[in-house]
Amino acid sequence: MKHKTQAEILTDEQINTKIKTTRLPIFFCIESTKEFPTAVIQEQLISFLSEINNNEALYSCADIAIMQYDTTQKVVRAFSLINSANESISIKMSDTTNFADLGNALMTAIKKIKIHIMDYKTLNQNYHAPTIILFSSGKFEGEMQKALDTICGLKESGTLHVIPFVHNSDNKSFFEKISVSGDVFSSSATGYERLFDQIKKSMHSLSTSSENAYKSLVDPNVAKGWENFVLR
Amino acid sequence: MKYFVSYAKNIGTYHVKYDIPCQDCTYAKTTENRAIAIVSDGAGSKTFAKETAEILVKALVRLFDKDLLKYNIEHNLLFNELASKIREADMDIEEMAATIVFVYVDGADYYCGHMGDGGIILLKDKKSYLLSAPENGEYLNETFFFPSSDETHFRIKSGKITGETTFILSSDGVFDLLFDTDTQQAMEACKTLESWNVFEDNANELIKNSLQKVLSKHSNDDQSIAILSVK
Repeated sequence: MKHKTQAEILTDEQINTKIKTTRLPIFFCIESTKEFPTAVIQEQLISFLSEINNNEALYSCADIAIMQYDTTQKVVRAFSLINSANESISIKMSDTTNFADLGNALMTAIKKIKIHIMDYKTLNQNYHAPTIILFSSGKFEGEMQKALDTICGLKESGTLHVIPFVHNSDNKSFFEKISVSGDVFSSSATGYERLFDQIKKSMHSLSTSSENAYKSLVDPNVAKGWENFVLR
Repeated sequence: MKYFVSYAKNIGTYHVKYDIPCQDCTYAKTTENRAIAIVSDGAGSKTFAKETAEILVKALVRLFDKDLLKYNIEHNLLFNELASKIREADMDIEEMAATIVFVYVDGADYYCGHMGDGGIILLKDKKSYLLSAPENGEYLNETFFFPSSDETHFRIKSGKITGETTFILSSDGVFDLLFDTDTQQAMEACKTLESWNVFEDNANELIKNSLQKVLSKHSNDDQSIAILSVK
């Protein structure tokens, strides 16, 4: 004998709607030597963080860290979501006349990212491939081979995306090797405001379309327009 | 023992928007003393995703119909049997991929097989358990598929059914809605699904209606549910 059950349709109250958002970890590495316009980048980053806070798709998934580097490195914002529209960050230009120690800066960034990924795994948190957005004058000194080998290995396995924005074409071949797409992007050709808008556009696309899950921020399928930023 | 099965699928809103067919395939059936429920989810990035899911489901049903499923499982033949059916198809093997999750009951014995995401929720003695969890890769949407992934990712479990038991199988588009991984508990919806499966003649229709009108609001992916109850 069959018995009729009361419910004829499931309701939102009966299901799990608190699904974890997939995090989008981005590590900004900002050169702070006199070779690079640090103050302009700082201003754009503050505006960028504020806009993310007001973006429904991004504020719950964009996991942003910021590090400045010259001959040393300093994390000015540890990985976390954006939770204030008026977040302030301070990137101080170095007094050094030396070029940046880019190799050590990249290794420090990778180390910080690996620690953060461990946290994701502990919390069973889904995440997109971590991205280093690198701002460099294009001039550097010091040991580079270790960083190059490490990044090439991570790039090959798809576990790290590096997007280099450089001020001039010095050492372009190094940046091409570490770049997720093989392209080196100009940090100044079209203006920083447009550049950060483009980054934000890609982040939005990546976070709202499951079809873009494996792709990098600079993938043409994620957002059109990156060709305008390629360093010629 | 008496067996009850039901199943339904619904095309994801993303697939509708971009005119992509539903790439999930689900089915369930019973005989007097055996039952099977299957969910397969074709990989969205592959050209023959839908076809691969259908091949896997048909291959399992064929083994069920010939009463060869238990033999294949117990002799560790099932992975190769399913993979060979995919290879036999006249399609580019590089463009074929699908996950699979199934439960087969033979008398009081149950067997479940799982490769990839989605999952199997077990309801028994008013408690819920995660019988088979989704296996994901490093990143979002990265999982394991037939036929490209290693056999070690094809997880087979078996056990005895000792009382009233319900297995709820789902594709990844709906699994997270039915099971809270933080608390490791099935959501209330699972009890309703179990009740429909056992007591309602139109269980398939009720599940489909809920997928279309409620569950699809929370995922843009294809969604499939298959239920097997033993009373």
